[in-house]
Parts: sequence; C-alpha cells; structure tokens
Amino acid sequence: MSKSTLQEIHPNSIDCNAKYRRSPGLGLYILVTIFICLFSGCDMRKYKVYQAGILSGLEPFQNITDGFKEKMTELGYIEGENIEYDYWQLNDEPIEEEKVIQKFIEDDVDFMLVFPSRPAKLAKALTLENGIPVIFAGASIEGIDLVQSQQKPGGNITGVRYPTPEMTAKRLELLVEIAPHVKRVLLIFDGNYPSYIPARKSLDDVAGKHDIIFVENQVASLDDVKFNLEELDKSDDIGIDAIFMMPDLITGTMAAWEVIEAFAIKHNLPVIGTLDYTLQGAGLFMLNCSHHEIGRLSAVIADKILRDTPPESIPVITPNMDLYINYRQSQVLGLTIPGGLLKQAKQVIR
Amino acid sequence: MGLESNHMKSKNKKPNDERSLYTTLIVTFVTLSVISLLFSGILLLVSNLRTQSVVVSDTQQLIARQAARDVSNFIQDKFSVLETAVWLTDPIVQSSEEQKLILDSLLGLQPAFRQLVIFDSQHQPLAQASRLPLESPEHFLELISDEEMQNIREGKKFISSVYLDPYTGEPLTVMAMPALDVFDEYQGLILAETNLKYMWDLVENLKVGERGHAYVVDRNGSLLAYADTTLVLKGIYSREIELVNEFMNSSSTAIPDHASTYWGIEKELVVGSYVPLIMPDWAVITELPWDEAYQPVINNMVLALLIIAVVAILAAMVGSNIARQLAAPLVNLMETASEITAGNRTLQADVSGPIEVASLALAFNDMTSQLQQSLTNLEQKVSERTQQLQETLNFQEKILATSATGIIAYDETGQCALVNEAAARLVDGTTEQLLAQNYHDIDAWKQYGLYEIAVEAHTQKKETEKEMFLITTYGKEAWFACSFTTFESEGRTHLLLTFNDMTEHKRVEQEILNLNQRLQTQADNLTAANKELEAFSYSVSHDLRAPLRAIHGFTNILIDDYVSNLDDEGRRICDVIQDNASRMSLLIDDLLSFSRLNRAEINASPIDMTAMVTSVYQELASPEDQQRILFETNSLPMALGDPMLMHQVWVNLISNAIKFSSRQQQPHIEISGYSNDSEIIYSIKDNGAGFDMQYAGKLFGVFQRLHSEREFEGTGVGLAIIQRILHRHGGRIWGEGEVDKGAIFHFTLPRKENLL
Repeated sequence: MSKSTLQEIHPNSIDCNAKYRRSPGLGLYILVTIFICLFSGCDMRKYKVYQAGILSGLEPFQNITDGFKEKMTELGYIEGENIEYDYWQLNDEPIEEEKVIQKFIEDDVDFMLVFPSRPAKLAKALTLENGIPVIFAGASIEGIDLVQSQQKPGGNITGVRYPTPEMTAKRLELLVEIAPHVKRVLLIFDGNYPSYIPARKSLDDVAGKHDIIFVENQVASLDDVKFNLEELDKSDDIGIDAIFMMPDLITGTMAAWEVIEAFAIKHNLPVIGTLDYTLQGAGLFMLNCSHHEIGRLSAVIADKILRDTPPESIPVITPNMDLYINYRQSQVLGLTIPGGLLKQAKQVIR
Repeated sequence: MGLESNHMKSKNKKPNDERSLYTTLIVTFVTLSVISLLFSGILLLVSNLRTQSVVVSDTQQLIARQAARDVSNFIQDKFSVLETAVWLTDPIVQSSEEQKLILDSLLGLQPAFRQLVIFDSQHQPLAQASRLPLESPEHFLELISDEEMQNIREGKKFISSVYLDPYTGEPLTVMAMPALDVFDEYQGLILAETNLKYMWDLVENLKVGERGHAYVVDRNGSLLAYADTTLVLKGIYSREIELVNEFMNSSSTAIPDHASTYWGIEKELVVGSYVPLIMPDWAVITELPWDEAYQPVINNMVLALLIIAVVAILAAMVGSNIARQLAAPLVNLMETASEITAGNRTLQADVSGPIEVASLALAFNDMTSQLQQSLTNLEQKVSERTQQLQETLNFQEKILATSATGIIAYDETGQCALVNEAAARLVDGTTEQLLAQNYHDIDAWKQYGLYEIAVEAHTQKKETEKEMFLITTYGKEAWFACSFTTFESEGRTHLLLTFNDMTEHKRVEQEILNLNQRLQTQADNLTAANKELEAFSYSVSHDLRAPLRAIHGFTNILIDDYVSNLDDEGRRICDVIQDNASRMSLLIDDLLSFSRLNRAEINASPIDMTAMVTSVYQELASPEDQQRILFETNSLPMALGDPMLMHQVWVNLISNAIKFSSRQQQPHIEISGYSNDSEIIYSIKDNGAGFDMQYAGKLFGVFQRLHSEREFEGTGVGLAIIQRILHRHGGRIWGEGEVDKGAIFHFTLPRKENLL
C-alpha cells in the first residue's frame, strides 16, 4: 500500500517526519572540538603577551639586554608576539631610574629586569608592596641587602649576581702578578655605591698580603673625578704606581674612563678598569663577567618566573669570570705578562 | 474491582524510561559501534603499549649509557689533563716559577679547574693557581681521608665527594692526581678543585628525545648537573625521585635492565633510566616524558578515537535515518493517540512506514473508531444514568427536606455530617447548629441517657429504638421517638438518627388509655348488670312458671268442672285466660332458653348445613305447606358449630320464613350459602310480609315485634336467640326487607380454622 493511498484514506493524519531531519554536523563539530582540546597540548605562553620592563642603569651594560633578549627568544618568547619589552637605557641617573621603575609598576609588568646594583636595590624597595618580580643582573649582592641568601633570595627578587668582592680582589692579585713593582695604587671609587664596602674589604685582604698601599680618591661625580685627577696632576710626584678602579656607576661611565685613561697614559701608569671597553684603550687587563652571558642567565630566571616559579625560590646565579689581557698596553708599559696568565686569558689583545 | 484498578494504574503510570524510540535506536547504533571499535581498539592499544614499553626501555637504556659515557668522559678528561701534566712536566721537581706556569696553563686549559695546588710528598704546598683570590690550600687535604690518601700514594686517582661553593652555590669537587717517579715512588700530587657547573652544558646538551632531560646525582642524592641550573644551585636533594632513591639504595654499579615510570624531576610522569658511573660515584639519569615516550601509542589511540568518533557519527547518521523511518510512523501514531486523548476523537493515524507499523496504524484506527462508538454509547448511558441519579438525588433531597421525621447522620468521629430541616425544627435549632455538633459533646444526650444508646449503636452497629422525654440543647421539652441505626460509607461507619416528636401522640395515647379505662369500667358494670339481669330473668321465668301452671291448671279445672256454671262470656274468659297462660308459658320458655344461651357450653363439631336445613324444613312444614311453598336450597357450605344451637338457628329462621310468607299465594323460600376467606355466609330469603328497614335496628331485640300478634303469632324472642347463638359462635346476623315484598336474613359463621 503506497503512502499516497493511505494519506487519502486518512486525511487527518500528521506527518511528523520533519522533526527528525536533523543535521549530523553539530555532533561532528563537538567531537572535533573535544579532540582539539584534548590533544593540542595547549601552551598558554603562546597566547599571552607578556610585558617586561628593562632598566639599564649604565650604558656599558647594554649587552646584558642583548643577551637577555637572545636567550628569551631561544626560550620561545618572541618580541612583538608573546612578549613586549619596555626598555630604558640610563646612564647614572638616579632620579630617572626611580621614574622608570614607577612606570613599570604602573604598567603592571609581568617582571622587570634591572641592573646593575643601585637600580636593582631601588626596584626591590619600590616593589615591596605590589610584588612585581624583579630580576637583577650584574648586581652585587654582598653587603647591600639585596637578597637574603644566594640559594633563597626571598621577597620578590632574584637574578644574576656580579661577583664583585672576589673579582675585585682577583684583579688586584693579577695586577700584582703582572706588575710586581706596584705598591702604591690609586683607588678611584664612589664610596656611596652599594657594593663598595664588600668590594673594598676583599680588596684590603689582598692588599695586605702584597704590601699594597691605596691612594684613595673618592668621588661623587664625574667632576670629582676630573677635579681630583687634575689636582693630582699638579703634584710633582703623583705618588702612585697604578690606577685601580672600583665598580660603581660614576667611574664606570665612558666619560670618567676617558679622564682616567688620559691621566694614566700621561703618567705611563697601568690602569685596571671594571668594564670591557677599557681594554680598547689603556686598560691593562680585564677580569670581568660577560654581560652578554649575564643577560642570558637572566633570561633563564625570567622564564622560570613566567612559568609561575616564585622569584624568592630561584637561587641567584653567579656568572663565570673571564680574563682579558691587553698585551699591547703591557708592551707600552714595559711589563711582561706571565705565560700562565696569557694561557688563562680568554682573549689577548695584541 | 481490584484488577480493574490495577489496570487503570498501569495505564496512567508515567513511563520510567523517557527516552524516545528515536533516541534509543540512535544510541543503540552508536553504542554497538563504539563498543565493538573500543574493544578492538583497546586490544590493539594494549599490544602497542607492550611493544612500545620494550622500545622505550631499550631506548632509555641506550640514551642513559651514552649520557653516562659523556659525563664520565668529562671527569676522565680532567684526570687525563692532570695525568698528562704530571707525566710531561714532572711538576714536583720543577722550580716554583715552572710550577706556577704549569698550574696557570692548566687553568687556561680547563675552565672547570678553579684552583690548582701542587703538594710535595709531605703534602706541603709547592705552588698554587686560582681563578679566585688565593687562599690557603691546606683545607683541600681535609677532604681526603687517610685511606684515600694511601690510595693516592699508591698511584690511584682520587675524586672527592661534591660540595657547594658557599658564595655561588656551584657544585665543586676536588680531584687529585698523584705524581710518581720512574720507580713508582710517590713524590707528591696535583690537586684540582673542579667546578662541576662546566658539566652543566654537557648535560643540558644531552639529547633525550624532544622534551626529555638528563641529570647527574651523587650517591647522596644531590643534584649535580641539570639543564635547569637553578635547581642545582639550590643544592636540592632529589631523593624523593623514585629512580634516585633506587640508585642511592643500591650499592651495586650494575646498570638496571629496565626503564621505570615515575614522577620525574619536573614533577611530571616520565619514563626514566639510570646508569651508575664507576668513578666518581654518581649516576646519570635520563628521563623522557611519558607522553613523548609513548607518543606512538598515544597517536594510535588518538587515531583509534578519531575512527571511533567518525564511526560513531556515521552510526548516528545511519541510526538516525533508520530510526526516523521506524520511529516517525510510531511517533505519528503516538501523537495521534495524544490528540485523541486530548479530545480530537475523529483523528486518524497516518498509515505509513513498515508494514508492521502500517498494520498497527490501521488496527489503531479501527480501534479508535470502535472506541469512538463505544465512548458515544457510554457517554449517552452516563448521561442517562447521571440524569436518573440526579433525579433520584433530587427526589431523596425532597424526601429528606419534606420528611416530618428528623434525620441526622453522624460520621465515624461523631461529627454531624447531614441533617434535614425537620430535625432542626423538631429540636428548635437550626441546621447550621446541628451540623456543628459532635454527638460526643451533646450534654442533653448524656443527661437523658441517649448518649450511651448512641455510642452502643454506633460501635456495635445495632439498631436501637427509644422513646423518651427530654429537653433539647435548644430548650425544647418534648417526647421523642428516636431510632439509631448505622450504615457504611466509604469504609466508615456512620450513625443515623431518625426521630419524631411524640408529644401529641403521647397525649392522645394517654387520653385513649383513660377512655379505655372508663369503657372497661362501664363494660364491667354492664356485664355485671347483664349477669344480674340474666339471673333475674331466669329467676323470674323459673319462678313465674309455677303460678302460671297453677293458673293454667285451675283454668282447665274451671272449664272441665264448672263449664256448666259458666255462661258464654265466662267460658270465653276462661278460654282467654287459658290462651294467655299458654302464651305466657311460651314467653317464659323462650326467655329461659334465651337466658340459658349465655351459660350453655358450645360443643362445636362439623355440621352438614344442607342436611340440617332440609331436616328442619321437613319438621316445620306440614305436608300442605310443603305443597304450597316453593322451597329452594342449594348445597350449603359445611360449618363448624354446636349442632343443637345451629339447629335452633335454622328452626327460628325457617319457621319465621314459613310464618311470614304464609299469607302469600305462592310462598317462596330460598336458602343459600357461600364462603370467603374468613367466614361462611348463609342467607334465607322469603317473599313474605317483609318489614320496614327503618325498624331494622329493632329486629334482634328481645320481645321486639314488627307485626302485631294478630297478624303473626310469636313471642319476639326468636331473632334475639339467633343473634345470641351466632355471637356465641363468633358470627353475626343482619336483615334486609321491604314491606309486603319479603325479607332476607344473612348470618355468618367463622371458617372452622378461625373458630375459637
């Protein structure tokens, strides 16, 4: 019996087939969605754009930023895609440093990378309440209350330390080894710089072993550097055998170095700087940590913070110290560099 | 009723399973498909999992061995450098400058060396070089035990346990290389403090899959090298890691032959393996995330799930199509049924789908048609019954409303449930007041003992009637005839009280009682008077008989002996005296007979009335009379009575008929009889002188005569005697007549079963 015939027999009948003509597309869509969610291996870092503030307190530390970004890229943080850097380069400008850090706080950055010691200490103080993670790089941790300990920094701060005490002491040892005649050393320093005291202490330990006498020249500004050296230059006997620079932001500037370098050259004195660029001029040797490497190590810490590891539980990293020898300057000064040191040097400049 | 009730329940019961047939079919298709695929998929996955486990274990072992070689090479490389330096430079015997140069050169050669010291055979430092500010080297010797130092003296290499730099947290170890002369005599040693962080890059670069990692631990569980250097710098102990713990607890340097699955150093599930180093006493552990290690299995699983999903979707689509074909006609049928249930009874189902379903639809349509007809008939019957019921209810309500009897129904708790207007009226209350009552609380009932009767009737379901005088709750004083009975309704026992006001009835009843008492007194007085009168009559009749015989005797003597002395008038007077004396004698005889009737005993026996009537007629009628009189009688009913008395009745009646019809030229006497349910009626009719019906009341009086002596002789006692006899038999007599046209007398006797 055909349906049409039956319909004629029962004209009041209801055709309800229509309500069962449903599309299977919805079920397929749901299943595919479930599979995507289950097996896609979602990594939220790919979808969130992090905000990072970077404050370099001194121009020569610029390489830290480069190393940091380089390593961050290797770790999957692509600038402009999932991370944005608010980079500020200052040069011994304390007031501006505070403004920049305040800006980072107002922008509620995911973390801030701050270096060297003074800006790092300032950042720690300013972020006490809001808890924004602070990563320091190339900062001394001894004697400045930056962290509780190397293994457990505490608070909201951690980073890559600058091994200022041991490095400063070793510089003096190297100076004595290269120039055994040196007994009077002009020590140019900013006594207010946070790392000065621990660095000086280690320095005094070495000096005592080798009968070194420091001719102290404390400065508070670039003008002080100029003035003091000019005053010293007026003397018939300047009374020093070498110039030794302490790590701080005043003597660390290129301008200060130019003044000091000129003085050293004029008086044919070995001068030991604290930063890499000194080897381009009259600097005799350089024992330092690679800023680039410090930046890379800082990126490792930043990655852990962005993976929700509390900063206080991330130990402070100490970078390697590398020896660079300005063989050319030693020839100018008539000094003989021991063969063993030359073999230790990462680079010998001829 | 029970079965029908269950049936109705099942029909109205909501389905437990609310899934539609459509859904059920789809679910069934999908479920069967998925289950079959899941079963085969699981078997395949288990097989793959086992195979992959072997592959992963072997791979991990291989990687761990390679990593262990690399780490071991790192250490051995440092020893080799030191050994070479000792062999080539013979440092113990060199000048201090040469010794310094050797050490500086070694520092330059190996970045991992942090400090180097040359000790002579007495362990006095000969030279020292350091990347850090120099410090006293003697403390290095404290890391070497006497036994270990003895081994060094015997030319064996030494490596200390690992310690951490207090400033940097970096792991350090001290390596000692003895210096022997050509005679293998101990001359001294070169001691190198080695920074193990230079092993970190080596470990970090060990390739363990895509996301795997390797790390180095010592026998104490300290983490020495790992890609995440911060963990190493923390100086953590990784003893809680299952594999590390296994290494720590194992004194053997044997390599485990299997990989383990556990929670790794990154707190994720890993497949790991470790390889102990011989020197130093460390182990290299390689870990591969479980999901990566079993990625092929996971891929297979995902593929299997995808296939299952696709098949499930296909099954759902196919199932949907089939289900639609199967379910749609059924749903149509269901919805048609629903609409019919909702009232659209003329609706018909669509006859479509498979033949079974179409047949079902056809059967359903037939059923609905029949159901429609049945419902119509049923509705009509229900309507008629409803109307009848309503009429009955109205009728009952009217009866209840118009009934003069008070009716009150109480429910099982005693609460008034129904009351009619008569009840309220009878107790001087209102229906609302009565409806608010519970008979357990009616004080008037308790006061007059009605409460106990009601409770007994209610509890024992018995009918009780009681008449009593009481004062109702509403102040009415009256006699009430109360009747209690019970009835069941909806499984509960109700008490029904019906009552009437008996006050007027009681009053009338009392009056009747008083009247009856007076009547009884009067009847008693009359009976006594009658008895006295009968006694007097008997006495008088008896006493009169002697002087009357004397008169009659002396008159005879006078006539017989002195007739000659008497003239005609004298003789006529004597004849008159004699006639009157005879007449008086008859009167006295009749009067005595009448009196005796009250005292005579009734000796009842069956009487053949026909024979008795014929005999009496023959006795009374002379032959001349019999020739002249037309005497007719039929077969008369038998009767029960005293034969002598009944004979007297017939004598008096037939003699009267002969007497009063004697003057007719053709006397006609007719005697008949018949019987009804209670009595036998006899009649005697004549065409004689008759009588005036106005004097019918006097017919049965004693000495009552409707004709003069001259017309018809007689004493006037005959009919009275008849009436007395019939009364004694429980019968009665009456007469009808018309002057000169005859008379008819009827008398009755009780049927024999009613005879006293």
